Formats: sequence, C-alpha cells, structure tokens
Amino acid sequence: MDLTINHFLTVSAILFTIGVVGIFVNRKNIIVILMAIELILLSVNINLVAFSVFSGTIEGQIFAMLVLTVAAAEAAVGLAILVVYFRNRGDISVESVDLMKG
Amino acid sequence: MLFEKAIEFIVLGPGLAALVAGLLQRFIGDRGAMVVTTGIVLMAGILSLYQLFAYAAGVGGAGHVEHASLAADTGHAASYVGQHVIKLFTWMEVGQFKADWAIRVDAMSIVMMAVITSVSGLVHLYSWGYMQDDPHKARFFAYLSLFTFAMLMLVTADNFIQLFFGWEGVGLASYLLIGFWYHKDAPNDAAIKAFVTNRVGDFGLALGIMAVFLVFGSVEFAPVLSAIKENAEVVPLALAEAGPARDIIVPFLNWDIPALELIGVLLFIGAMGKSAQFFLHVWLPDAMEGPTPVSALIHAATMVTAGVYLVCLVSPIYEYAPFAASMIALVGAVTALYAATVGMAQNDIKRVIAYSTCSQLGYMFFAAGIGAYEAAMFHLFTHAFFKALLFLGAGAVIHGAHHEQDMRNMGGFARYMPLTYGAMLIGTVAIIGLGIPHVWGLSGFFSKDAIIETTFAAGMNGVAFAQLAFWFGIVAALLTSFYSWRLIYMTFHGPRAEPHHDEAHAHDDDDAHHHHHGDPHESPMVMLIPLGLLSIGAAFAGWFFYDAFVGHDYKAFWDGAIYTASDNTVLKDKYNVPEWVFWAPLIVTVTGFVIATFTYLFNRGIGATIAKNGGPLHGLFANKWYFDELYNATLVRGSAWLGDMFKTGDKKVVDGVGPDGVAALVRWSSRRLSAMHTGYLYHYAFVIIGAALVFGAILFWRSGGAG
Repeated sequence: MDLTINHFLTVSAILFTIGVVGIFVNRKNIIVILMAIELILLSVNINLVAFSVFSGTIEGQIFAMLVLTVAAAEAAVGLAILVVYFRNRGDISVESVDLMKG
Repeated sequence: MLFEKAIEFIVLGPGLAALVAGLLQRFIGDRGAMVVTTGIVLMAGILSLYQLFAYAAGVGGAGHVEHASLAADTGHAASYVGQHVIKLFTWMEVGQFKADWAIRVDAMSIVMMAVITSVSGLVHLYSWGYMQDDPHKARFFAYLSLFTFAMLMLVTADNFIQLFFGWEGVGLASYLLIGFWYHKDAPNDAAIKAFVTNRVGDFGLALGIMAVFLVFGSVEFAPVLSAIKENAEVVPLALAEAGPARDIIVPFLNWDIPALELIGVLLFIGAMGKSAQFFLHVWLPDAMEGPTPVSALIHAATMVTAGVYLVCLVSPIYEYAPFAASMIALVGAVTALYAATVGMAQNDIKRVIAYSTCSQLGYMFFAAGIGAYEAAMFHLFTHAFFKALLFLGAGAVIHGAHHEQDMRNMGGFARYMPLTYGAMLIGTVAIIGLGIPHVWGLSGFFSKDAIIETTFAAGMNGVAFAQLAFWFGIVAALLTSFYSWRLIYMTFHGPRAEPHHDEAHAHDDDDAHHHHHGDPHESPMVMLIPLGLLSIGAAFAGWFFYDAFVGHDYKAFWDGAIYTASDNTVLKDKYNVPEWVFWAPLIVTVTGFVIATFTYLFNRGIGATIAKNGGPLHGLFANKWYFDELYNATLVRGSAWLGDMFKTGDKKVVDGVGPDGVAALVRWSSRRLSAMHTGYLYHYAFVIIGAALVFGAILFWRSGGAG
C-alpha cells in the first residue's frame, strides 16, 4: 500500500479535530487548551509538509518551520500569562475564567 | 391738541400705572404702587368725565362745532361722521390686512371711557380700605390698572384687531383678579372656569373677525361699517362673489347664508361669552370668589358690558342681519328672566348681585337685538353706576361683618352701618327702576323704562321676539324688585343675627388676617366716599343724560357712532306706546316690593320656610336651573372622557408602537445579545471556528466547489 497524500491529510484532520474538541469539551484546565492549540498547529504543519513533499516544492517546509517557531513563542507567552493569572486569581480552571460575561 | 393729550392720558395712563406698580413694586413699595395707580386712574376719571360732559353739553350747540373742529384740527379726514381717530402707530400691515394702535374718539368711546375710568378710579380708592390688610396690595393695584388699560384699549379701538387685544386683555386681568387669592381652591377654580368659558365666546369672536376680513378685506371699523351703511360694492377676498355689501352670500358648513348674518352671529357668540349670556353665563356667579372691588369693577360695571358695547358698535351689521338680531333679542330676554329667577333663591349677598348683573345685561342685549342700541348703551351707562354702587355696598357689608357673605347670617345691620345702608338703598331703588312715569326717578328708571318702551314699540312694529322680550322684561322687573328688596331686608333689617362662625365655611376667612369677632361696623371713610359719589351717579345719571342718550337729542349725541336703518324708528316710536306700558314697570316693581316686604320684613320666617320645604321650583332656582350640573355631566365629563380616551390611545398605540415599543425592543434584544457573552473562552473559540468554517464554506462554494 502506497502512502498517498490522503493519508497525511486524514491524520492531520484527525489531529485538528482532536485539538478543536479539546478546546470545547475541556472544562477543567487552561493548560489543556494550550495543548489543544498546539495539536491544531501541528496538524497544520503536517498538512504543510505533506503538500510540500508531494508537490516537490520547498516553501511548505519553510512555513512549517515558521509555524513551529510561532508555536514555541505562543506556548511561552501563553504559559507566562497563565502563571501571572494564577498568581492573581489562585485558580486556572476554565469555569472560573468568565470576567467577560455580559 | 390739548384735547388729544387728555385723551391719550386717559387711555395710556392706566397702562403706565400698571407697569410701574407691577414691575417696580420692589422699589416703590405697596404705598407707592397704590398712590401711582389710584392717582393716575382718578385723574383719568376726572378728565374723561369732563370730556363726556363737554361732549354732551356741546351736542346740538356751540360745543358741537368745537368737537367737529377738533377733528379738522388734526387733519384726519373723519372716516365716518363724528369720528375722530388719534393714530398712535401702525401695529401690523400685511397686504390689505392693516391694524393700527389708535384711539377712536366718538360718542361710544367717550361714554365708555367715562364709565370705565370713573368707576375704576373709585374702585381703586375703595380698595385702599377693602384691601387694607392684604399682603399683596401692589399686585392687586397693578392688576386693577392693567384691567383699566385693557378695557380702554378695547373701547377706543378703531379696528377689530385692537379690539380683540383689549378683549383678551380684560379676560386676562379678570382671570388674574378672580384668582387673586390664589392660595385657596375656590378662587382658582372660578378663575379657570371664567377663562375657559370665555374661550368659547372668544373663539366665536375670532371667527367673526376672520369672516369680516375675508368678506370686506379689512379689519378696520370705518371701511367695513361704512360699506354696509352705503351698501357699497364689496369684493371679498375669498368664499363669495363680489356684490353689494348687504347681499353677499357665503358658504358656511354647507349652507349658503348671508355674510352679515354669519358675522353677526359669530360676533354675538363672542359677546355672549364676555357678557355672561344664557349658556355661557356660568362663569359670572363663580367669579364672585374674587375680591369685592373686582366684582364691582370688572364683573358688574365694565368688562361684562363689553359684549353690549361690541353689538352696539357694529350696529350696521345687525341692522341688516335680522336673524342675528333676533337671536340677540331672544338670548337677552331669556337671560334677563333666567338670571332674575335664580337671583331670588341665592343666599350669598354677592351672588344675588351677580345674577342681577346677568339679568340686567340681558335687558341690554334684547334692547340691542330689537334695534334700540341707544337704549342698550344708556342702560349700560346707568347700570355701571348703580351696580358698582351695590357691589361696593355689599363689599362694605362684608368688610363690616368680618367677611361674612351669607345673608342668612346677617340682619339688623342698618343700625351699625347707616351710611352703607343709605347707599345700598339708593342703589336698590335705582336698579329696580322705581320712578313715576313722565315725572322723575332714579337712573334705572330712565334706562330700564326706555328699554321696556322701545321693546314694546318694536313689538308693535313687528320686530321678531320683541313682544316676548317685552313680557320677559316685565316679569324680570318684578323679580328684580323682589330679590333686591329681599337682599336689603335680609341684610339690614330684622333682628341682629347671632354671630355665626363656622370655621370650615368657605367665605369665612376671606383673607389671611383675622379680625376680632364682634359687632358689624361702618367702613372707613376711604370706602364711604366712593359709595357717596356712586350714589350721586346712580341717582342722577339717568335723569341728566336721558335726552342725550335716548331722548330728543339722541341723533346729535350719537352722531353716527350708532347706526340705525331708516326703517328702524323704535326710539321715536317709544313715545307712541299705550299709556299702560309706561305704568307697567312701576306696577310690577311695586308688586315685587310689596311681596318682598311681606315675606322678608314682616314675616321673616316665610322665606326660610319656603327654602326648607324646598318645592321643585325653589330647588330649580336655588340650583341655578342645574346648569352647573348639566355642564358637568355633559361638557366636563364628556371632555374628560374624550381626553382619557385619547390618553389611553396615545399611551397604548402611539407610544406603544413608537418610542416605547422601540425602546422595549432594543432593551429586550440587547439583553439577549449580552446573554451570549458568557465569558467562557471555549464559547468564543467555538464562535471563531464556526465562523471560520462558515466563511470557508462560502468561499469554497463561491469559487465553484471541489470541481
């Protein structure tokens, strides 16, 4: 069985869906949300790399590197915010983060 | 020139006094305001009385030439005979619509000026005593002078617009003075009632003036009235075809009616409101809530006669509007009789005199309605003196009896206030018209008998409603005599009534101050002097001016100011009536006197017994024929119901759909929208992703789908 692009895209889609569902279904912990976002970004990376390989161009892989960088930066900033938030509120459960309630 | 200056002072002086007293009262104080207003109005009174005497003395003699030369003096071409207009300045001029501020001097205005300023001057003086303890004297005197000014503007107008200004001005002053004691409910209610009732009449007057302008293209008296007199060709601005003035037909509410009839009826509706004629009379008795000097000046001597004055002023219109004239005669006759019946059953001393005023105004109107305008003006003139005298006398009684107004609580006052008693006797004899035909009597005798005789003469000539008016007038004369003597007997004769002080009684504390309660006392000199002077007027005015007003010199005296058609000869025919007509008023007057004497002097219990047993007739009279109840049930409730209906409709429908509905919708939808902002991160994320999916799908679909 040959590996076609569809296999890569299917894995990517599964990962993306897991990430999205992780954001919605998770009611406990903001760290899990960050991890879910990380999953979504990785699914995008798989897409980019797969398209790059199968179309024989290099730009997709360069983009994937860029996304990895951004994801690292985002994780750092997100965790930093989370730490500060925990210091202020003493709690990082998703349920209690509702200051924007109308 | 001196003549013009004097006239200008008479008319404008009271206005200036009102301004000074009203606006500068902080600086000049009560005393200053009283001196300024009383001084100026008294001076104006003396000047205008001089004008009247000079004018009357000059009629038909050397003085007449002097009067005519005055007109020539100022270079004014007299628009119609005997008229002399001092133009002050132009008020407005829009196309054909032109109105000046002007002072018209003719017999009508000279008579009215004399009445207004002399009575007003005396009332000002009287108020020094009557309002002695009132805390707002400056305001009171300012209003009095304001009224005098407005009334003078009314009677000296040379166009309908200035007349309307004066008309509304006196209405305003009347409102302010009825409600002078504004801290009590009854005067406020009465003031509003007077104002609202007058609106009905004023609406008619305003429509009448508009009709005059539309038909004649002018609101000035001279062109309008002379066009009617000469039956000149008139080109109406709208509504009607050009034609001779008397034949113009205008459409009104789908009818084609003669323009003069329409104008006549509309102007008369205005006169009915101001002069408290039947249907619009309800405000006058309630106006007695005002201070008594006000009742004497405004609601007896001057303002309420403005309607009579208006009808006489536009006499050419009524001469050629037989329907309108007969309406005046009918309404006047009914009012004369109606008010007299009610006057018999009233117990408030001022209300008796108020109904008496109403009744006498009815006499004036039916006289004018049957074409005897001169007799109407004559009765207006004499009535001003004796009615002001009666009111001021009643004021002296009220003042002396510590603000008691109920005659049932009076009695035997003659001992305590002999001078007031004397004055009231003169006033009573004057108003009932006691006098010996062909010989002499007090002023009411001359003027009322002139009306009775001319009305009978008009009846012989076949004038509509004249016979009815004659008989109503005779019966009303009987009732007048009865209730006038009843007033005298209940107040001044009999045993001294026990001081009766019911604190809840509406009239008990007429004022903020509290007298010591004791015997009634005579009034101070400052109140007795006006009574004395008015007594002279009430006694002699009729005899002195009879020839000039309605006697042999009447043509020269009125000098065109009152116009009568050539076939209207009632004033001359009054000498040809049967002898019994001369004696009839005397007979009924004496009858009324005898009945009153029997009932209220010798058998004092009878009146009270009748009132207590209260037959249907007494109930009808005592309750003013239930007019207040009728109006309350129909007009007041009706408009309240209509107002409530519109209020509900406005709130529920207009506001409900409009502003309130939109506001409620916005509030409802924003509450829903804000509920969407849960604050939970995953909800926002869901919306973002959902939106991204939707947009992506749309883009995908628009770009042609997978293919």
